[in-house]
Amino acid sequence: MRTLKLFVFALALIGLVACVAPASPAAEKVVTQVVPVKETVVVAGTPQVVEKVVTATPKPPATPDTQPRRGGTLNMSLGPDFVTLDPYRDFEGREFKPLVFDSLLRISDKGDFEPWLAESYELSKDGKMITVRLRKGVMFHTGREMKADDVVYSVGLARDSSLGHDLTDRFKTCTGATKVDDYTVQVNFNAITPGAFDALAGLYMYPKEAADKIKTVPVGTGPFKFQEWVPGDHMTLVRFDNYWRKGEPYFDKVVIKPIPDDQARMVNLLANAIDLLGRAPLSSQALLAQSPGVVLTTQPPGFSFDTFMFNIAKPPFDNVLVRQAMNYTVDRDKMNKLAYYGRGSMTLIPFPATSWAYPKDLEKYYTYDLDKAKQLLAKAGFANGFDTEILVRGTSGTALDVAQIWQQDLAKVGVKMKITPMESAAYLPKLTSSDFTIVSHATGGSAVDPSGLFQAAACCRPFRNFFQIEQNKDWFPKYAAAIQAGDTAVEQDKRKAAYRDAITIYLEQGWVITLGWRQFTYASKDFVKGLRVDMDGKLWLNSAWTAKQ
Amino acid sequence: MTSHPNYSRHTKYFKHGDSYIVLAARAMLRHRAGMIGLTITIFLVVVAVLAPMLAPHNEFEMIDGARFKPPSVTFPMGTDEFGRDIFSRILIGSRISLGVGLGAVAIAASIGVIVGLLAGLFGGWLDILTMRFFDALLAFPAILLSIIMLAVMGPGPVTVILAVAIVNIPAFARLTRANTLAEKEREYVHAASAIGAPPLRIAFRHVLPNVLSTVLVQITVSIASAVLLEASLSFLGLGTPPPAPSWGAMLSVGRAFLPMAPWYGIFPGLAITVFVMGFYLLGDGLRDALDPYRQKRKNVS
Repeated sequence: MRTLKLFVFALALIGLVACVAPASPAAEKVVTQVVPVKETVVVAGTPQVVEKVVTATPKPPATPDTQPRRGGTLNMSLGPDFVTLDPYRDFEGREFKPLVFDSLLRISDKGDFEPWLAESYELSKDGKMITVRLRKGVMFHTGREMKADDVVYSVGLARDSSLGHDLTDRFKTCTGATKVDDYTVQVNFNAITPGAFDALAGLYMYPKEAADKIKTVPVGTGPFKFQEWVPGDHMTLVRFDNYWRKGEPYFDKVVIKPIPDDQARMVNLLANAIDLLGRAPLSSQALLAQSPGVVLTTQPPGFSFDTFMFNIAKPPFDNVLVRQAMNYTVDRDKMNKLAYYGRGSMTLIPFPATSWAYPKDLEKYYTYDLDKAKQLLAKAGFANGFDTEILVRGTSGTALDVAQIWQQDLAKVGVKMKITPMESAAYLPKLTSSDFTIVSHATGGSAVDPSGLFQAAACCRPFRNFFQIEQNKDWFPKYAAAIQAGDTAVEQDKRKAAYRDAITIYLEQGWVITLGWRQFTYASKDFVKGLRVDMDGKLWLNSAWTAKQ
Repeated sequence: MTSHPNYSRHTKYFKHGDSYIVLAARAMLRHRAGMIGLTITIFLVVVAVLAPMLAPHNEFEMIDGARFKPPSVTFPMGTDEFGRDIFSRILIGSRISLGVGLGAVAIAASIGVIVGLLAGLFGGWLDILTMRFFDALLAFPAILLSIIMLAVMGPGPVTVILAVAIVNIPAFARLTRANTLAEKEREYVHAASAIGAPPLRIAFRHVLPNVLSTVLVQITVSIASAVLLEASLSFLGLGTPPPAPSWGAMLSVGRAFLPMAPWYGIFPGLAITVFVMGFYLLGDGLRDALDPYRQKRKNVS
């Protein structure tokens, strides 16, 4: 009897909640408010930092919010706790690097490079040497000035493949650095290295004497000085008074807390426990965007993108007509609306529009055209479609959402696609051993220079390619040759033409369907001003300040 | 159930001519919670069978411009992030829950009962070996064990059924073994073996029918927990892969939208609650109805 009463009571309670909740007007607001955000992003098509303030009630502009003010503490969370604080490694929380470290040059907001710790830099005519002139008066947190010797030391570290860090690949052609004088260094390469500037932008400077403990005690030249890291609890950084950019930074203190769960991080921000969060998933951005006093800052597109990729050794995708047909079944607008919550930057070219190599004339190479897809399938002998399977990395998120949307459109041309989401540990071996037919996968060159795409991205590199394009004897050699031509030319015009050839083959052969850019999004309280997120998704706080009294 | 010789010893409490089944059914009808459970269960089974006819929309159809619509006449339970009708998805999803529940428990019960019966009856190394193995299985929490198995086998409807089945086997085996140990000392077993019945005939023909009533109760309870386990696994992204409308997966995704679209999380959660409660209450009722001692008490009072 007691069970019965309890049960009836529980049912009544749940029923009550169910009936009341949907009626709340706040719930309906979502649908109407998401759309304008999408329009701002897409119509403007701006590849720069997308920033949008959404306030429910317009606030009167009372305080002078334009003048940076000194002081205050910034509480933030980037997601899970750090694995290491070594700047040469890319793990969870890598976005913090510019808070403590600086490099010789950095990625600019225009999508190229600008001098940072270097006063200027110059590439030699043969393209094999970069001369860097250092700024004077740049101090390490230890109180010592950074000089040419430190650059030589850092380049040596980066080249040392025995250390097993993430920079080595970028420094493969580097033969070392030589000191000319205390403030001039020459970085030498044994071949034309188009990715050299990307390499230098990732080369964070730290003093030799801090090397022993760099994994737990980061020491650099950046705006904030490391104070303590209590793993699992927080990391505290304090203002570095001798920062080389006079007057900066403005915050006295930055506290980074690990909050791995996306929902928990969001709730912490909304409850004012933190003022800034990183890695806001697309699914919660709609809610964050309509929360009063929350600002979203999104990484500019260019480093990584979502794709569907075919194993061209597996029938029916060994047939180029089938692959082209598949390219016509992708509805990027619908994906943007549903999977990217209207906040996506959709593209079918794997270069950002800001890149000098972006082939604008190819951006409409494929459109969403199911009739065309059917024609091509019929021509390939698959008028009635076929059954296939897509592997998805991870069991939730954008990669899975886009696959579900695509599945619907594929069904319209008779292709039945089974979706198999997998944990990374099971997925990666299948990917690397080419044991799949289609994958829903994010890839990218993680570089400003277009060569990065062909050197690092799984989709596009002409070596260690999981999609078996190297097996092709017909067009693959042309593709590899075009990349080679682009990588070894010095003049930008020649390089652009060569990469355009490569991209043309990439589109025509269609083994990769590029969907849209993957972008880190930060959410912050509107009193936090002057945030910067670079193309690499890293967070810059040197010019950030709080308008809170 | 052809022979129930052991219940003959209760005959003095029974009205003449009432069989065990009639008595059990009568007890069940009097059991209010049990009847509610039975009603819910029958209702859900009917819904699951007729789901494609009852669903107003295709469960996969992404209706243009209909994402995150609150419950209305067109969408009785609202729509999800792709503009799919949640009501239709829950209806079709009942087939997944019921399928996994029934499938897993059928496998678990068949294996568990047979192993338990043989172990209990024959004892010896078979008993020691199987029971220690099941002890080891029982040492793992069910959810952890099934996560391990799904990580190895990969997610999918069949693997989910297998994983849920395997974690349920020990309960059936131990229960059957315990009852068999009690039954095998009864006179009718000695009698059967005295007239030369072969061991397997004794096991399946004489002992099995007498331990089935407890197994039946365990089945309903296991179905409830199997449905819950499937929902938990799908919630963790290890269950039936999308776009299949698994309740657990819907709840998991809906959780992210709770502040803006509460219906997305509430209705799948409600469906799981009702389903699991229904089977638990049914199990409760069956346990009371099938218990001869309880029947006795009811008859006396």
